[in-house]
Amino acid sequence: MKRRLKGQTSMILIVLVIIIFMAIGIFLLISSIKPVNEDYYNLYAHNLLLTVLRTHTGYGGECETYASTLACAYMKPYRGCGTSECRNLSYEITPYLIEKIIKPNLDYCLVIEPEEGMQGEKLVYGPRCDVVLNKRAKWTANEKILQYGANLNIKFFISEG
Amino acid sequence: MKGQVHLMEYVLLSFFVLLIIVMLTFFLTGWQMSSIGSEKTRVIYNKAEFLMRAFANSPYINRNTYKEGSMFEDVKLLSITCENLQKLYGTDWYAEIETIEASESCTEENFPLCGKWSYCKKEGESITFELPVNIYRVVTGKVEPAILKVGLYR
Repeated sequence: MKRRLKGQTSMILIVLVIIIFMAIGIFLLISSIKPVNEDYYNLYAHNLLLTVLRTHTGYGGECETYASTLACAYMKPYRGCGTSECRNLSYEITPYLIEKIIKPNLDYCLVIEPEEGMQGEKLVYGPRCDVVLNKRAKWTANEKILQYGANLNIKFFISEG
Repeated sequence: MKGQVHLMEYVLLSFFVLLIIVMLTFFLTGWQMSSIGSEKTRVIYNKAEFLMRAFANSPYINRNTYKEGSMFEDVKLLSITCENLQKLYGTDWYAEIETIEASESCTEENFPLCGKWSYCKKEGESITFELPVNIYRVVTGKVEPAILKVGLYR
C-alpha cells in the first residue's frame, strides 16, 4: 500500500512539474508579444492628412490645393476645374495622391462632412472604407477646412489591411 | 531487494527535483536576457521616434510660415549637411526625404529638378520610421508631397 502511494506521489510530482513548465512557457510567450506603437500611427495619420491637404494639385483656381478641391467638391460640386468638375476631380486625384504616399500595408478612408449642427451629405473617399470604418483597431486624424464661408470637417481613418 | 527499490525511488525523486531546479534556473536566466534585449530595442525605438519628430518640426529646414511643421523648403534642404545636423542630433542616425514625383538626388547642378535629399546615410542595420511631409519649392511656389525616413543605427 505504502509503495503504491509513493509511486502515486512521484507521478503527481511529475505532472506538477509539467504544468509548471507549461505555465512558464505561456508566461514567456505573452511577455514577448509586442504591442502596436499607437503614438506613431496617430502621428502618421495626422501627418498624412496634413500633407495631402496642403499639396498643390496643379489645376489652379478653385482646385489649387487638395484641400480647396475637397471644399469645392462639397460646396460647388459642378464648378469646373481644368477639364473636369470639382467633385469628379476630387474622386480622381484622391487615390492618386494618397496611395502614392501611404504605407502599402495600410488602408484609408477620408470622410468630409459639414460642421456639427449643419445638415448635409457626407462625401466618402477610399476603396475599402466599409472595411476601415468597421475595424476596431484604426487611427484617426481630424482637420477643418474653412472655405466659401463654411467649415467642413475632414475625418481621415487608417487601419492595417 | 525491497530496500533497493525504496532507495531507487528516492534517487529518482531527487533527480527530478534537481532537474526542475536546473531547468528553472535556465528559464529565468533566458527570460532576464530577453527582457534586457527588449528594453534595449524599446530605448532605440523611442530614440528613433523622437528623432523623427524633432526633424519634422525643426525650424532649421521648415518654412517659416508653417508653424505646424512638416513643410520643408527645398533650398534649406540643399544647403544643410550631415555635419550641421549631427551637431544638433548626434551621430548614428540618418535621414532621407524623397518626393513622390522625382527621385533623383539633389545637387547644386540639378537643383531644383530633383526630389531626393539624404543625410548621414551609411551601411548598417537600422530602425526606421517614415512620415509624410511636404516640400515647398521656392522657385515655383508649389507644394509637393514627400516621405521623410529617419533611421537609427543599431
